[in-house]
Amino acid sequence: MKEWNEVEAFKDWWMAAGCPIRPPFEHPLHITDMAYALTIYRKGQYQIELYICKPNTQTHVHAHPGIESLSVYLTGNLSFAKDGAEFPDLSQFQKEGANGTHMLLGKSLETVNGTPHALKVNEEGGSFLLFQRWSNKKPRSVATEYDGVTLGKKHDKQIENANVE
Amino acid sequence: MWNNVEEFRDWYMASGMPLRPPFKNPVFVTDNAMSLCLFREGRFQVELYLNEPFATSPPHTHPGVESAFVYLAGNIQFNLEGRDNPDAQQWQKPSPEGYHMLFGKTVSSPDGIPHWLKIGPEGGAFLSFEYWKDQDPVSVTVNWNGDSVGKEHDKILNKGDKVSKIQDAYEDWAEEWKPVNKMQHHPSSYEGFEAGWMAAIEVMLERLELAKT
Repeated sequence: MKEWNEVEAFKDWWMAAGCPIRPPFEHPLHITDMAYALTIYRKGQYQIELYICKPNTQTHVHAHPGIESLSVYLTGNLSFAKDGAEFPDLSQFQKEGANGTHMLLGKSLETVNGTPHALKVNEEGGSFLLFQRWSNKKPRSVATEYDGVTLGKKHDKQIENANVE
Repeated sequence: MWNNVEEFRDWYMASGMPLRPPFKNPVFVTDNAMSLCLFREGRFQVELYLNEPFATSPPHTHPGVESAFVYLAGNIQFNLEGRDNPDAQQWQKPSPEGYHMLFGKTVSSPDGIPHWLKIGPEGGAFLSFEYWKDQDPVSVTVNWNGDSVGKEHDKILNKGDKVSKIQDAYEDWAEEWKPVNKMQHHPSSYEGFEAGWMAAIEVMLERLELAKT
């Protein structure tokens, strides 16, 4: 079985392999009050979740303990902040790129290794891929391995379900 | 380019399902689902739909759009008017590779044939391949003929303001009508009641005007 030694190598392999989309049968979908997520690929301790985020929403600063992750921009108007810093102003990049895509399509952020971060979504909504390496547990969703103020009742329910199973 | 939606679907799947979301109108939100356009080229596009557990949609059509659905994950019952709609619960099993055994299975939904969905406790994910015959693609969520799935959906169908107007007038009337004690009957005023009906008539007249154009 193919294994990788870090999340970046996993991302590079997945891109080079033609971005295969193979949602697992077990726990493929996670719904919160802010976003819907589909696991589009899972192998061993690695997986990729595709997040679709509602417009005009924002998380509090939070962390995903035991998970190394890397975000890749797909589309919409999203802003990520690390370690309690301010959200960067990405308005200069809210432009159309090649083939009618977002000019930030495919751009990735620094790896986050269980450290605090936050996400802000503006009026267009947005979508990104989250590449993950889970160090101890079987991968499920970063929405259920969540250290911080939750996003509402739906999010609470997801966490509760994950803890029961 | 492709001649029909099935050709487009087959090309997309054979090409490894390229992720190329557009800058314009990529994300739509309703009361129980979210969509992301994964690929758009000319009059063709594919939208990824993620559905909440136990979500349903009433029978509806997408005028001017030929569609084909591809199963990805979760628990989805697709129903198409006039066709056999076998109970999908019998296929709620993993494939030997660990995917859903219906992964990649497809059903075409020709323009004008009503279809509807019922989602199980796991939620659902599917691809909607679309060929927009008369206009540039947006989302089938907004090109919708039939009852909506709820208030959020009404808002994007531009029904929200009118529905709220009638609802608000009705609620004002109901509040005025409500007996304060058991002995009290209907109030003497019909003003609230009248306001509710006037709002409803106003909307109907607007629709008649629209129908004329």
